[in-house]
Amino acid sequence: MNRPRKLILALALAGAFFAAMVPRTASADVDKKTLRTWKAKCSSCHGEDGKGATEQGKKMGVRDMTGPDFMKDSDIKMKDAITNGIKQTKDGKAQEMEPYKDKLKPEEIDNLVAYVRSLKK
Amino acid sequence: MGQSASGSTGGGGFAPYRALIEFLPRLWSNWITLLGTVVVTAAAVTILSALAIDLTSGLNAYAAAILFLVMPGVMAVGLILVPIGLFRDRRRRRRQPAATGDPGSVEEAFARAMQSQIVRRRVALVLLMTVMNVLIFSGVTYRAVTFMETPKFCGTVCHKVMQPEFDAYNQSPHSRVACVECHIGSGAPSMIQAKLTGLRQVWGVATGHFHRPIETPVHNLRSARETCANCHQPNRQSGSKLAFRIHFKSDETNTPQVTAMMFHLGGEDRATGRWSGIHSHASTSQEIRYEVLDAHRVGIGKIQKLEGGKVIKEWLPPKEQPGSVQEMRVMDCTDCHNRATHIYDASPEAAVTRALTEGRLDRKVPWIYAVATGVLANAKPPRDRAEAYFREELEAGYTRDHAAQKPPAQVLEESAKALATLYLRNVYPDMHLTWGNYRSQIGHGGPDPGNTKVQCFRCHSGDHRTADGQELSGKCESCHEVVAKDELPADLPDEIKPLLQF
Repeated sequence: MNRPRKLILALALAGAFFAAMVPRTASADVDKKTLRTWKAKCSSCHGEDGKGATEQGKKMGVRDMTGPDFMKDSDIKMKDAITNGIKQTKDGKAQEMEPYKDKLKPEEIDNLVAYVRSLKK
Repeated sequence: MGQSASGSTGGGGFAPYRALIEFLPRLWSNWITLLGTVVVTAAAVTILSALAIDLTSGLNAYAAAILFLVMPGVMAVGLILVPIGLFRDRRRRRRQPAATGDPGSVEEAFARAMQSQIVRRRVALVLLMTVMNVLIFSGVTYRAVTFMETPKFCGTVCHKVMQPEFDAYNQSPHSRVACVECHIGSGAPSMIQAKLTGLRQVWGVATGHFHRPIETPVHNLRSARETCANCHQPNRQSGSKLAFRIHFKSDETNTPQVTAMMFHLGGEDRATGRWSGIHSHASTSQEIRYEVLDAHRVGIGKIQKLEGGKVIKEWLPPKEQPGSVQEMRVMDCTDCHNRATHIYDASPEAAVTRALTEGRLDRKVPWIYAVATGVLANAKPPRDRAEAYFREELEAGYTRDHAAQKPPAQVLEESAKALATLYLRNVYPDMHLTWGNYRSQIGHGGPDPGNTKVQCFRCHSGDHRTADGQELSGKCESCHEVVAKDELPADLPDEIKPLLQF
């Protein structure tokens, strides 16, 4: 393998690696089914707009999904939260989200993460 | 009568008859004693008959009242009348000794009297009349008893103030269950309590001193184990049940929004004996009891879960919990299903939504949801002119806000008729009854309730905690799974779309 081709391959691998690690910021097109899943499973606490300004959201202190702080989270972290749920206490508030690994398929979870990314202000 | 006896029996017949007449004042020849004797006989026979019915097929509450309350009283009156009559007769005999004479001993007087055919006939006649009186009295009593246990009696005869409750009852799933089945227990003690309460209520109605609207008698209501459980099996495993909740947008097309929920009703698993789901609150293996802090059981103090009579877990309310403890109550069906029969629409929006869903208001009429809810929310017309009122208000509402889409007169008339039905079903100005007076404890006021201390959230708002800080669960998924939320009917998942009847 000649030197330029090695360089291209290395850059491509590095690009792929960083693409996986760095949070996505681009909006994604959301299909109807994902929107339906979001409304049914997530909006009760996170709100339809993702800002978390619901009774349950306020009670648990859920984060504003549209802000830059939330967008710093990686896709992996978001997928893990949806897949395995959350049970923690933050700022004195008990936060609990049920795991969806038995209720949603992996691709549905991926689509949800993409939808959350699309909520960016 | 004396002359007739004499004439019929000749000179020999008068003496025994006279002897009987002279003797009978002690028993029933004066009208007071005679009346007392008949009353005692009738009461005795009625009591004996009632006892026989009770032994064979059981008595209802009102029959028990007749048996244990009224009839002994009637009998006592009769027994008092007998000596009163005898006393009066003795005084009369003392004042006029020549007119009476000595009738001799009982046996002698009776034997002499019964030798006369006319006396025998008259005695037979009196006996026959007594028997007929008893039969008539028993029949009337029975008829009165059966009538008093009919919903018609409870709802219309002497309980005019009960009209809202009677109307709601007639349109409820329990309209074939008599009022007394739930409101009055079996046996005399329940009956006595109900009638004493009833007397107070009658006095209140007569003097105009009663609460408007009438108060919900939750503190007097019988346990669900004595009422609901007579027909419903509390331990039935109901699994999960899909239900649709529909509401409409205030837009031109009255856009329907459908939420599909899978409710985990649960119950007892017959194989393992374990309880699950919402109905585990009515578990027969565990008991939930709580401190009642107000008359409507909305304020909840300490909550305990018991097993085998022992407290296995306890949740405490916030320290600033208002109200003092009124009672420690064991939770049953009625703590949630408090409006299983006397059902009212929670709001004008809920009523119009129901009418649109059921097709009694035409969904195709532009802006009908918005206009109808606006009109209904502010309506206070007399009930007898409700339809005319709504016809005028719909006309005015459309003219003011949506003149271009105002429906034709016939549509407005049909819509007014439907609104009047909703109004008459929920609003009773004379009884100060209007929207939201009688609130159901099912649910939690919508997906994001503003007031989190009602209905299920009386206990599950997150305020109640164990001594070591564990929260009484408020997890949504414990009771339901949201399958779809606020979707157009056409956008529902394909698997459930055919189940929606809309």
